[in-house]
Amino acid sequence: MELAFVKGKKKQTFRTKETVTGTISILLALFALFMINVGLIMKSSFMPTGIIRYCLIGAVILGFAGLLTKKRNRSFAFLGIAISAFIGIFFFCMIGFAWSINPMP
Amino acid sequence: MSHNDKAYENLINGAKKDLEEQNFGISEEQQQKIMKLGKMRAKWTTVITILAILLLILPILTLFSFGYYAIGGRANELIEVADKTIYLTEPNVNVKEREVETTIDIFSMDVRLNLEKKIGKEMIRIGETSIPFLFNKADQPVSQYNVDSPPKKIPYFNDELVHPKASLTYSENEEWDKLKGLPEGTVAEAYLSFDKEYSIEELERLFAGKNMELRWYAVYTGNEHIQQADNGVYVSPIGFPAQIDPDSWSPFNGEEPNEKVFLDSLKFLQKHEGVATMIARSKELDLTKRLQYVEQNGIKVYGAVVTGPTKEILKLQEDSFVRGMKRGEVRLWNWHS
Repeated sequence: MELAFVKGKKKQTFRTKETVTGTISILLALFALFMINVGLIMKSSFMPTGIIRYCLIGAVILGFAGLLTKKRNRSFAFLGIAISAFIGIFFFCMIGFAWSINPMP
Repeated sequence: MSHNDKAYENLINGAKKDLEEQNFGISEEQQQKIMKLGKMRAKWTTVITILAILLLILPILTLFSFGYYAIGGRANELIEVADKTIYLTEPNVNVKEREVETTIDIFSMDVRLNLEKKIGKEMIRIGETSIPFLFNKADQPVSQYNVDSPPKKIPYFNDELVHPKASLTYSENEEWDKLKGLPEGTVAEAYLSFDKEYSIEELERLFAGKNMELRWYAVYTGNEHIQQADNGVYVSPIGFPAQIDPDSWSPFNGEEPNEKVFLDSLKFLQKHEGVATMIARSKELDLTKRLQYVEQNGIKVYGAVVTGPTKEILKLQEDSFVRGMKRGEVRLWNWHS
Protein backbone atom coordinates (compact mmCIF):
# COMPACT_ATOMS: atom_id res chain seq x y z
CA MET A 1 0.00 0.00 0.00
CA GLU A 2 2.79 2.33 0.94
CA LEU A 3 4.57 1.77 -2.31
CA ALA A 4 1.34 2.42 -4.14
CA PHE A 5 1.11 5.63 -2.20
CA VAL A 6 4.67 6.53 -3.22
CA LYS A 7 3.90 5.63 -6.77
CA GLY A 8 0.77 7.72 -6.80
CA LYS A 9 2.60 10.73 -5.35
CA LYS A 10 3.74 13.60 -7.46
CA LYS A 11 7.42 14.02 -8.12
CA GLN A 12 8.73 15.52 -4.86
CA THR A 13 11.11 18.49 -4.87
CA PHE A 14 12.98 19.61 -1.74
CA ARG A 15 13.33 23.35 -1.35
CA THR A 16 16.94 23.63 -0.33
CA LYS A 17 17.76 26.86 -2.08
CA GLU A 18 17.12 29.98 0.01
CA THR A 19 15.38 33.00 -1.43
CA VAL A 20 17.74 35.84 -2.32
CA THR A 21 15.53 38.35 -0.52
CA GLY A 22 15.38 36.08 2.55
CA THR A 23 19.17 35.77 2.59
CA ILE A 24 19.61 39.55 2.34
CA SER A 25 16.94 39.97 5.04
CA ILE A 26 18.78 37.73 7.53
CA LEU A 27 22.11 39.39 6.73
CA LEU A 28 20.65 42.86 7.34
CA ALA A 29 19.01 41.70 10.58
CA LEU A 30 22.27 40.12 11.75
CA PHE A 31 24.17 43.30 10.91
CA ALA A 32 21.66 45.36 12.93
CA LEU A 33 22.06 42.90 15.82
CA PHE A 34 25.84 43.16 15.53
CA MET A 35 25.64 46.97 15.75
CA ILE A 36 23.49 46.67 18.88
CA ASN A 37 26.11 44.37 20.41
CA VAL A 38 28.84 46.89 19.55
CA GLY A 39 26.81 49.67 21.16
CA LEU A 40 26.23 47.61 24.31
CA ILE A 41 29.87 46.54 24.59
CA MET A 42 31.15 50.10 24.09
CA LYS A 43 28.91 51.16 27.03
CA SER A 44 28.60 54.61 25.58
CA SER A 45 26.04 56.56 23.68
CA PHE A 46 27.50 55.00 20.54
CA MET A 47 24.47 53.20 19.18
CA PRO A 48 24.12 53.83 15.44
CA THR A 49 20.33 53.90 15.57
CA GLY A 50 20.09 55.38 12.07
CA ILE A 51 21.93 52.45 10.48
CA ILE A 52 20.02 49.97 12.63
CA ARG A 53 16.70 51.50 11.63
CA TYR A 54 17.47 51.28 7.90
CA CYS A 55 18.75 47.71 8.30
CA LEU A 56 15.56 46.74 10.11
CA ILE A 57 13.27 48.31 7.52
CA GLY A 58 15.22 46.54 4.77
CA ALA A 59 15.22 43.22 6.65
CA VAL A 60 11.46 43.30 7.24
CA ILE A 61 10.55 44.30 3.67
CA LEU A 62 12.91 41.77 2.10
CA GLY A 63 11.86 39.14 4.63
CA PHE A 64 8.22 39.46 3.62
CA ALA A 65 9.24 39.44 -0.03
CA GLY A 66 11.14 36.23 0.70
CA LEU A 67 8.10 34.69 2.35
CA LEU A 68 6.06 35.35 -0.78
CA THR A 69 8.63 33.70 -3.04
CA LYS A 70 7.50 30.23 -4.11
CA LYS A 71 9.52 27.06 -4.69
CA ARG A 72 12.33 28.28 -2.42
CA ASN A 73 13.25 27.68 1.18
CA ARG A 74 11.89 30.53 3.31
CA SER A 75 13.67 29.81 6.60
CA PHE A 76 16.12 32.73 6.22
CA ALA A 77 13.25 35.06 5.47
CA PHE A 78 11.48 33.85 8.62
CA LEU A 79 14.66 34.23 10.67
CA GLY A 80 15.28 37.71 9.24
CA ILE A 81 11.79 38.85 10.25
CA ALA A 82 12.04 37.16 13.66
CA ILE A 83 15.36 38.88 14.49
CA SER A 84 14.00 42.21 13.26
CA ALA A 85 10.94 41.73 15.47
CA PHE A 86 13.20 40.97 18.44
CA ILE A 87 15.23 44.14 17.80
CA GLY A 88 12.00 46.15 17.64
CA ILE A 89 10.81 44.66 20.94
CA PHE A 90 14.28 45.19 22.42
CA PHE A 91 14.26 48.92 21.66
CA PHE A 92 10.66 49.34 22.75
CA CYS A 93 11.28 47.63 26.11
CA MET A 94 14.61 49.38 26.67
CA ILE A 95 13.04 52.81 26.14
CA GLY A 96 10.17 51.88 28.48
CA PHE A 97 12.49 50.51 31.17
CA ALA A 98 14.93 53.41 30.86
CA TRP A 99 12.05 55.87 31.29
CA SER A 100 10.87 54.20 34.45
CA ILE A 101 14.36 54.08 36.04
CA ASN A 102 15.37 57.31 37.77
CA PRO A 103 12.72 59.44 36.02
CA MET A 104 14.30 62.78 36.89
CA PRO A 105 14.69 65.67 34.50
CA MET B 1 2.45 -18.53 -6.81
CA SER B 2 -0.83 -17.05 -5.90
CA HIS B 3 -2.47 -14.24 -7.75
CA ASN B 4 -1.76 -11.88 -4.91
CA ASP B 5 1.95 -12.72 -4.89
CA LYS B 6 2.19 -12.09 -8.61
CA ALA B 7 0.45 -8.73 -8.25
CA TYR B 8 2.83 -7.87 -5.44
CA GLU B 9 5.88 -8.81 -7.54
CA ASN B 10 4.59 -6.67 -10.39
CA LEU B 11 4.12 -3.79 -8.03
CA ILE B 12 7.67 -4.15 -6.67
CA ASN B 13 9.12 -4.32 -10.15
CA GLY B 14 7.12 -1.26 -11.14
CA ALA B 15 8.36 0.63 -8.11
CA LYS B 16 11.96 -0.38 -8.85
CA LYS B 17 11.58 0.83 -12.40
CA ASP B 18 10.15 4.10 -11.13
CA LEU B 19 13.05 4.56 -8.77
CA GLU B 20 15.53 3.92 -11.56
CA GLU B 21 13.70 6.45 -13.67
CA GLN B 22 13.81 8.82 -10.76
CA ASN B 23 17.48 9.08 -11.34
CA PHE B 24 16.16 12.41 -12.60
CA GLY B 25 18.22 11.88 -15.65
CA ILE B 26 21.35 13.23 -13.95
CA SER B 27 24.76 11.71 -13.93
CA GLU B 28 26.72 10.53 -10.87
CA GLU B 29 29.00 13.54 -11.16
CA GLN B 30 26.07 15.93 -11.13
CA GLN B 31 24.61 14.11 -8.16
CA GLN B 32 27.84 14.62 -6.24
CA LYS B 33 27.80 18.28 -7.18
CA ILE B 34 24.28 18.59 -5.82
CA MET B 35 25.37 16.81 -2.65
CA LYS B 36 28.27 19.23 -2.21
CA LEU B 37 26.00 22.21 -2.76
CA GLY B 38 23.51 20.83 -0.26
CA LYS B 39 26.25 20.33 2.33
CA MET B 40 27.51 23.86 1.79
CA ARG B 41 24.03 25.29 2.19
CA ALA B 42 23.51 23.28 5.37
CA LYS B 43 26.84 24.57 6.65
CA TRP B 44 25.86 28.19 5.96
CA THR B 45 22.47 27.73 7.58
CA THR B 46 24.20 26.38 10.70
CA VAL B 47 26.72 29.26 10.70
CA ILE B 48 23.98 31.88 10.38
CA THR B 49 21.86 30.24 13.07
CA ILE B 50 24.82 30.05 15.50
CA LEU B 51 25.77 33.63 14.71
CA ALA B 52 22.22 34.77 15.38
CA ILE B 53 22.16 32.91 18.72
CA LEU B 54 25.53 34.40 19.77
CA LEU B 55 24.49 37.92 18.82
CA LEU B 56 21.24 37.54 20.73
CA ILE B 57 22.93 36.67 24.05
CA LEU B 58 24.08 40.20 25.02
CA PRO B 59 20.85 42.02 24.07
CA ILE B 60 18.73 39.39 25.88
CA LEU B 61 20.84 39.64 29.05
CA THR B 62 20.78 43.45 28.88
CA LEU B 63 17.02 43.43 28.42
CA PHE B 64 16.67 41.06 31.37
CA SER B 65 18.83 43.33 33.57
CA PHE B 66 16.88 46.46 32.61
CA GLY B 67 13.66 44.57 33.27
CA TYR B 68 14.93 43.40 36.65
CA TYR B 69 15.74 46.94 37.81
CA ALA B 70 12.76 48.65 36.16
CA ILE B 71 9.88 46.29 36.97
CA GLY B 72 8.52 46.99 40.43
CA GLY B 73 10.66 50.13 40.75
CA ARG B 74 13.64 48.20 42.11
CA ALA B 75 16.24 50.64 40.77
CA ASN B 76 14.36 53.67 42.08
CA GLU B 77 14.08 52.07 45.50
CA LEU B 78 17.84 51.43 45.61
CA ILE B 79 18.53 55.02 44.49
CA GLU B 80 16.21 56.24 47.26
CA VAL B 81 18.10 54.14 49.82
CA ALA B 82 21.41 55.66 48.67
CA ASP B 83 19.95 59.16 48.67
CA LYS B 84 18.41 58.96 52.14
CA THR B 85 21.44 57.22 53.63
CA ILE B 86 23.59 60.18 52.59
CA TYR B 87 21.13 62.77 53.90
CA LEU B 88 20.87 61.00 57.25
CA THR B 89 24.49 59.95 57.83
CA GLU B 90 26.57 62.69 56.18
CA PRO B 91 26.37 66.01 58.06
CA ASN B 92 25.61 68.99 55.83
CA VAL B 93 25.87 66.92 52.65
CA ASN B 94 23.21 67.20 49.96
CA VAL B 95 22.73 65.06 46.89
CA LYS B 96 22.33 66.89 43.60
CA GLU B 97 19.09 65.12 42.80
CA ARG B 98 18.94 66.19 39.18
CA GLU B 99 22.39 64.79 38.53
CA VAL B 100 21.83 61.24 39.76
CA GLU B 101 23.21 58.93 37.09
CA THR B 102 22.46 55.25 36.72
CA THR B 103 24.29 52.81 34.50
CA ILE B 104 22.78 49.38 34.07
CA ASP B 105 24.98 46.54 32.98
CA ILE B 106 24.41 42.81 32.87
CA PHE B 107 22.90 41.89 36.26
CA SER B 108 24.39 45.04 37.79
CA MET B 109 23.74 48.73 38.28
CA ASP B 110 25.97 51.64 39.16
CA VAL B 111 24.49 54.72 40.84
CA ARG B 112 26.54 57.91 40.77
CA LEU B 113 25.60 60.73 43.12
CA ASN B 114 27.06 64.22 43.05
CA LEU B 115 27.53 65.57 46.55
CA GLU B 116 27.46 69.17 47.67
CA LYS B 117 27.69 71.26 50.82
CA LYS B 118 26.51 74.71 51.67
CA ILE B 119 29.44 76.83 52.78
CA GLY B 120 28.36 80.37 53.45
CA LYS B 121 25.60 81.06 51.00
CA GLU B 122 26.82 78.90 48.16
CA MET B 123 26.38 75.23 47.44
CA ILE B 124 29.84 73.82 46.84
CA ARG B 125 30.34 70.56 44.95
CA ILE B 126 32.42 68.40 47.28
CA GLY B 127 32.71 65.25 45.19
CA GLU B 128 30.87 62.22 43.97
CA THR B 129 30.16 58.74 45.15
CA SER B 130 29.57 55.74 42.95
CA ILE B 131 27.62 52.81 44.40
CA PRO B 132 27.84 49.50 42.56
CA PHE B 133 24.97 47.02 42.87
CA LEU B 134 24.93 43.37 41.85
CA PHE B 135 21.23 42.64 41.47
CA ASN B 136 19.96 44.35 44.66
CA LYS B 137 23.08 43.85 46.77
CA ALA B 138 25.18 46.98 47.25
CA ASP B 139 28.95 46.89 47.20
CA GLN B 140 31.39 49.30 48.85
CA PRO B 141 30.90 52.80 47.33
CA VAL B 142 33.78 54.47 45.54
CA SER B 143 33.94 58.13 46.54
CA GLN B 144 36.03 60.98 45.23
CA TYR B 145 36.19 64.24 47.16
CA ASN B 146 37.60 67.56 46.06
CA VAL B 147 37.74 69.24 49.47
CA ASP B 148 40.69 70.05 51.74
CA SER B 149 39.78 67.49 54.39
CA PRO B 150 37.78 64.64 52.86
CA PRO B 151 35.88 62.41 55.29
CA LYS B 152 37.44 59.15 56.42
CA LYS B 153 36.53 56.18 54.26
CA ILE B 154 35.50 54.11 57.26
CA PRO B 155 35.33 56.16 60.49
CA TYR B 156 36.01 54.41 63.79
CA PHE B 157 35.40 57.32 66.16
CA ASN B 158 33.46 60.56 66.02
CA ASP B 159 35.66 63.62 65.92
CA GLU B 160 33.07 66.11 64.75
CA LEU B 161 29.75 65.92 66.59
CA VAL B 162 30.18 64.67 70.15
CA HIS B 163 27.42 63.83 72.62
CA PRO B 164 27.46 65.79 75.95
CA LYS B 165 28.16 62.59 77.91
CA ALA B 166 31.12 61.63 75.72
CA SER B 167 34.49 63.34 76.02
CA LEU B 168 35.56 65.62 73.20
CA THR B 169 37.81 63.87 70.71
CA TYR B 170 39.58 67.06 69.63
CA SER B 171 41.30 69.97 71.28
CA GLU B 172 38.63 72.61 71.77
CA ASN B 173 41.05 75.57 72.04
CA GLU B 174 42.98 74.45 68.99
CA GLU B 175 39.82 74.46 66.88
CA TRP B 176 38.81 77.96 68.09
CA ASP B 177 42.36 79.15 67.38
CA LYS B 178 42.13 77.76 63.84
CA LEU B 179 38.98 79.79 63.34
CA LYS B 180 40.52 82.92 64.89
CA GLY B 181 43.39 82.66 62.43
CA LEU B 182 41.10 82.92 59.43
CA PRO B 183 40.74 86.32 57.79
CA GLU B 184 37.53 88.29 58.07
CA GLY B 185 36.55 87.86 54.43
CA THR B 186 35.86 84.15 54.75
CA VAL B 187 32.90 81.92 55.44
CA ALA B 188 33.19 78.64 57.30
CA GLU B 189 31.39 75.47 58.22
CA ALA B 190 31.47 74.42 61.88
CA TYR B 191 30.48 71.22 63.68
CA LEU B 192 29.01 72.20 67.04
CA SER B 193 28.68 69.88 70.01
CA PHE B 194 26.23 71.11 72.63
CA ASP B 195 26.34 70.96 76.44
CA LYS B 196 23.08 68.99 76.57
CA GLU B 197 20.34 67.66 74.32
CA TYR B 198 17.98 70.26 72.89
CA SER B 199 14.70 70.16 71.05
CA ILE B 200 14.53 71.70 67.57
CA GLU B 201 12.47 74.63 68.91
CA GLU B 202 14.98 75.33 71.68
CA LEU B 203 17.82 75.35 69.18
CA GLU B 204 15.97 77.63 66.81
CA ARG B 205 15.49 80.05 69.72
CA LEU B 206 19.17 79.83 70.67
CA PHE B 207 20.28 80.60 67.12
CA ALA B 208 17.65 83.28 66.47
CA GLY B 209 19.33 86.57 65.63
CA LYS B 210 22.68 84.96 64.90
CA ASN B 211 24.12 85.75 61.50
CA MET B 212 24.62 82.14 60.45
CA GLU B 213 22.62 79.23 59.09
CA LEU B 214 21.86 75.96 60.85
CA ARG B 215 22.51 73.20 58.30
CA TRP B 216 22.21 69.79 59.96
CA TYR B 217 21.02 68.38 63.28
CA ALA B 218 22.69 65.41 64.96
CA VAL B 219 19.93 63.46 66.71
CA TYR B 220 20.45 61.44 69.87
CA THR B 221 19.32 57.89 69.14
CA GLY B 222 20.37 56.15 72.34
CA ASN B 223 23.95 55.14 71.69
CA GLU B 224 25.83 58.31 70.69
CA HIS B 225 27.15 58.76 74.25
CA ILE B 226 29.12 55.53 73.88
CA GLN B 227 29.39 55.73 70.06
CA GLN B 228 28.90 51.98 69.88
CA ALA B 229 26.20 49.55 68.94
CA ASP B 230 25.48 46.52 71.14
CA ASN B 231 28.02 44.53 69.16
CA GLY B 232 30.74 47.05 70.00
CA VAL B 233 31.06 48.44 66.48
CA TYR B 234 31.30 52.23 66.09
CA VAL B 235 28.10 54.02 65.10
CA SER B 236 28.27 57.42 63.45
CA PRO B 237 25.87 60.29 64.06
CA ILE B 238 22.46 60.21 62.43
CA GLY B 239 20.53 63.36 61.74
CA PHE B 240 18.75 65.42 59.16
CA PRO B 241 18.99 68.75 57.32
CA ALA B 242 17.91 71.78 59.32
CA GLN B 243 16.67 73.70 56.29
CA ILE B 244 14.16 72.97 53.56
CA ASP B 245 15.93 71.87 50.41
CA PRO B 246 14.97 74.07 47.44
CA ASP B 247 15.51 71.04 45.16
CA SER B 248 12.00 69.68 44.61
CA TRP B 249 13.36 66.13 44.12
CA SER B 250 15.00 66.12 47.56
CA PRO B 251 13.22 64.15 50.31
CA PHE B 252 13.55 67.28 52.49
CA ASN B 253 11.82 69.53 49.95
CA GLY B 254 9.40 71.06 52.45
CA GLU B 255 6.30 69.11 51.45
CA GLU B 256 6.36 67.72 54.98
CA PRO B 257 8.29 68.91 58.06
CA ASN B 258 11.92 67.74 58.05
CA GLU B 259 11.38 65.95 61.39
CA LYS B 260 8.64 63.80 59.86
CA VAL B 261 10.69 63.10 56.74
CA PHE B 262 13.57 62.10 59.04
CA LEU B 263 11.42 59.56 60.90
CA ASP B 264 9.92 58.24 57.65
CA SER B 265 13.40 57.96 56.14
CA LEU B 266 14.64 56.06 59.20
CA LYS B 267 11.74 53.60 58.83
CA PHE B 268 12.44 53.26 55.12
CA LEU B 269 16.16 52.66 55.69
CA GLN B 270 15.43 50.15 58.44
CA LYS B 271 13.69 48.00 55.81
CA HIS B 272 16.83 48.22 53.65
CA GLU B 273 19.40 48.22 56.43
CA GLY B 274 21.83 45.91 54.63
CA VAL B 275 22.06 48.18 51.61
CA ALA B 276 22.11 51.36 53.75
CA THR B 277 24.93 50.00 55.93
CA MET B 278 26.98 49.18 52.86
CA ILE B 279 26.45 52.70 51.46
CA ALA B 280 27.08 54.55 54.74
CA ARG B 281 30.69 55.15 55.74
CA SER B 282 29.99 53.83 59.22
CA LYS B 283 29.71 50.06 59.01
CA GLU B 284 27.03 49.74 61.69
CA LEU B 285 23.78 51.69 61.63
CA ASP B 286 21.79 49.75 64.24
CA LEU B 287 18.64 51.29 62.79
CA THR B 288 16.01 49.13 64.48
CA LYS B 289 17.13 50.11 67.95
CA ARG B 290 17.81 53.73 67.06
CA LEU B 291 14.44 54.17 65.37
CA GLN B 292 12.70 52.66 68.37
CA TYR B 293 14.53 55.07 70.66
CA VAL B 294 13.61 58.15 68.60
CA GLU B 295 9.97 57.05 68.34
CA GLN B 296 9.78 56.63 72.12
CA ASN B 297 11.79 59.69 73.19
CA GLY B 298 11.27 62.16 70.37
CA ILE B 299 13.89 64.12 68.46
CA LYS B 300 16.61 65.50 70.73
CA VAL B 301 19.60 67.21 69.20
CA TYR B 302 23.09 67.08 70.72
CA GLY B 303 25.05 68.66 67.88
CA ALA B 304 24.60 70.67 64.71
CA VAL B 305 26.43 71.90 61.66
CA VAL B 306 26.31 75.64 60.99
CA THR B 307 27.73 77.84 58.27
CA GLY B 308 28.26 81.56 58.13
CA PRO B 309 30.89 84.30 58.32
CA THR B 310 33.94 83.05 60.21
CA LYS B 311 33.89 85.90 62.71
CA GLU B 312 30.20 85.26 63.46
CA ILE B 313 30.89 81.61 64.18
CA LEU B 314 33.76 82.70 66.40
CA LYS B 315 31.25 84.54 68.62
CA LEU B 316 29.74 81.13 69.56
CA GLN B 317 32.73 80.58 71.83
CA GLU B 318 31.03 82.88 74.31
CA ASP B 319 27.81 80.85 74.28
CA SER B 320 27.63 78.36 77.11
CA PHE B 321 25.45 75.90 75.17
CA VAL B 322 28.30 75.30 72.69
CA ARG B 323 30.55 72.72 74.33
CA GLY B 324 32.91 72.22 71.43
CA MET B 325 33.46 73.38 67.86
CA LYS B 326 35.24 71.58 65.05
CA ARG B 327 36.10 73.64 62.02
CA GLY B 328 34.90 72.32 58.67
CA GLU B 329 35.34 73.70 55.16
CA VAL B 330 36.32 77.34 54.63
CA ARG B 331 35.68 79.47 51.53
CA LEU B 332 36.17 83.05 50.45
CA TRP B 333 33.44 85.52 51.36
CA ASN B 334 30.08 84.78 49.75
CA TRP B 335 27.78 85.94 52.55
CA HIS B 336 25.96 88.40 50.36
CA SER B 337 22.32 89.31 50.76
